[in-house]
Amino acid sequence: MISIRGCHYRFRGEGDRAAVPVLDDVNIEVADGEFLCVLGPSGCGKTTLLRLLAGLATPTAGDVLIDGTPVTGPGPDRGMVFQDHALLPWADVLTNVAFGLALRNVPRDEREERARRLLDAVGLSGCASYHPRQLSGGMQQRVGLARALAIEPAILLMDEPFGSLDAQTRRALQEDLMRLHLAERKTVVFVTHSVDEAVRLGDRIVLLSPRPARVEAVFDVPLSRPRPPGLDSLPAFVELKRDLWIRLKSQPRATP
Amino acid sequence: MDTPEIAAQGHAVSRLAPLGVTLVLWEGLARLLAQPAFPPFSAVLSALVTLVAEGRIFGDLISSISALALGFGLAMAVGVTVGALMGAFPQVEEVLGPYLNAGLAAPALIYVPILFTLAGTSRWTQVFTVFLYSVFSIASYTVAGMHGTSRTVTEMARAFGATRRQTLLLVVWPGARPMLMSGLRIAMAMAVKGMINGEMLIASTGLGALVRVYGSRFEIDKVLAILLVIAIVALSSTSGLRLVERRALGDALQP
Repeated sequence: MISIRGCHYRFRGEGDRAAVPVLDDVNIEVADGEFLCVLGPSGCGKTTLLRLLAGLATPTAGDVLIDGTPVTGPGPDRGMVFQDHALLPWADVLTNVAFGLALRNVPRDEREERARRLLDAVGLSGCASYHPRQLSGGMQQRVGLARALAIEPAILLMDEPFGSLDAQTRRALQEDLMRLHLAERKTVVFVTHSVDEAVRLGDRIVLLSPRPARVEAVFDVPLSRPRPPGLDSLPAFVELKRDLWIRLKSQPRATP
Repeated sequence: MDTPEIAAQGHAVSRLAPLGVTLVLWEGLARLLAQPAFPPFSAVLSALVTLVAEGRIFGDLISSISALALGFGLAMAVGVTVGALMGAFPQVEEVLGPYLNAGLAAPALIYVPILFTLAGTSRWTQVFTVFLYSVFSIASYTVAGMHGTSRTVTEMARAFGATRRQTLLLVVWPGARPMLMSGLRIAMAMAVKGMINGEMLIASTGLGALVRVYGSRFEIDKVLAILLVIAIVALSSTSGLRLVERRALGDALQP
């Protein structure tokens, strides 16, 4: 269970530049096994929120708790998938997937075995010895996902992982992610600026305001899991998307 | 589709073609001009054959190569260590950075007379000339390589719980190696220059000393013959480095 309570965050100002408030009293609870999508306009502070959860940044005020314990830094209970995959360019795919395990001094054989199993799970069985630059964007992101899953985290933190992919690849990855989520029931916090993606993936959607971000609204997604066939034409899907669109469009432009 | 073998042959031909054209032009032009300062390639080649047959060149060759190996080995040890420390610790970089930049910009030839007063005509003068010609670029390429790690990758390492030590050893250092290796190749070329320059200025042995002797007698064919030998030394030392590179690039992380 993740609790974000009264979180404020500001970028420190430098010299005569004033500090920039990024998060303004954000309150979010995420239940175990829930797939939460965080939706908001570009630059609103979604990534910052995720960095707080990852323990890469500390809130200026407020608390980030996981199962009641304050987050003080990165931990093996959380796996992160990055916007631009952040793979080690000089290492092959297997090494990249095993990275988190290597940090924990897991023996080589076990590392390799687990990494291979996860490559199977994300559909990259034959790619273990490739280097990241030899892979397409979608495959790179699959490696990033496998790397996060390899440490067997209870929570997956995903920062617009499919944002730079073409529509078809994106859809394929979304479907695989949902399949994995259904199988493993990890808690997922998924940041996106795509309304379609949020409704397609989430159990619940938190809509953030432009910067400084507040929780503007929370939506329950009234769709079953696995998603029913013909999802794109289901009234519940279409209507929620439309509602979210209207809310997003009516937001004032983010302050630059 | 070409078989790899045919492709490799084609590759070799296309690589050797410019050399052949150059040699033919050289020969033709030199014969046409008939200048003593510009001997034809055939004369240079026969001078080389004579030098080799007389056996004189081997002592100098060995003297030069050993100074090169020793000086470059030292430069590698010091340059990589200092560069890695500068890359890892901003405080170290702040202190040493200006000296590194000054050392890079300073013409290394200046050190030769100083070394001469310290070490005389002993081989250490040559060794340290080679060292000073190459150590600064090795260090600066090492620093640049370590700074080349992208922020997203170091942030990723942190998110996965890497300590600072782990980030340096498992992320930053391996990422710096390609840049380091090209730095070593460039530094090797400078080391060869240092070797010859130092020998030309003061040494009594070595290829550079031979160049000086023959140069002062205007035996240009022999000077150029030695230049050929120097070129061969330079080429083989860089390919030697490449060999070491392939061996050395084993991976700490590889599962």
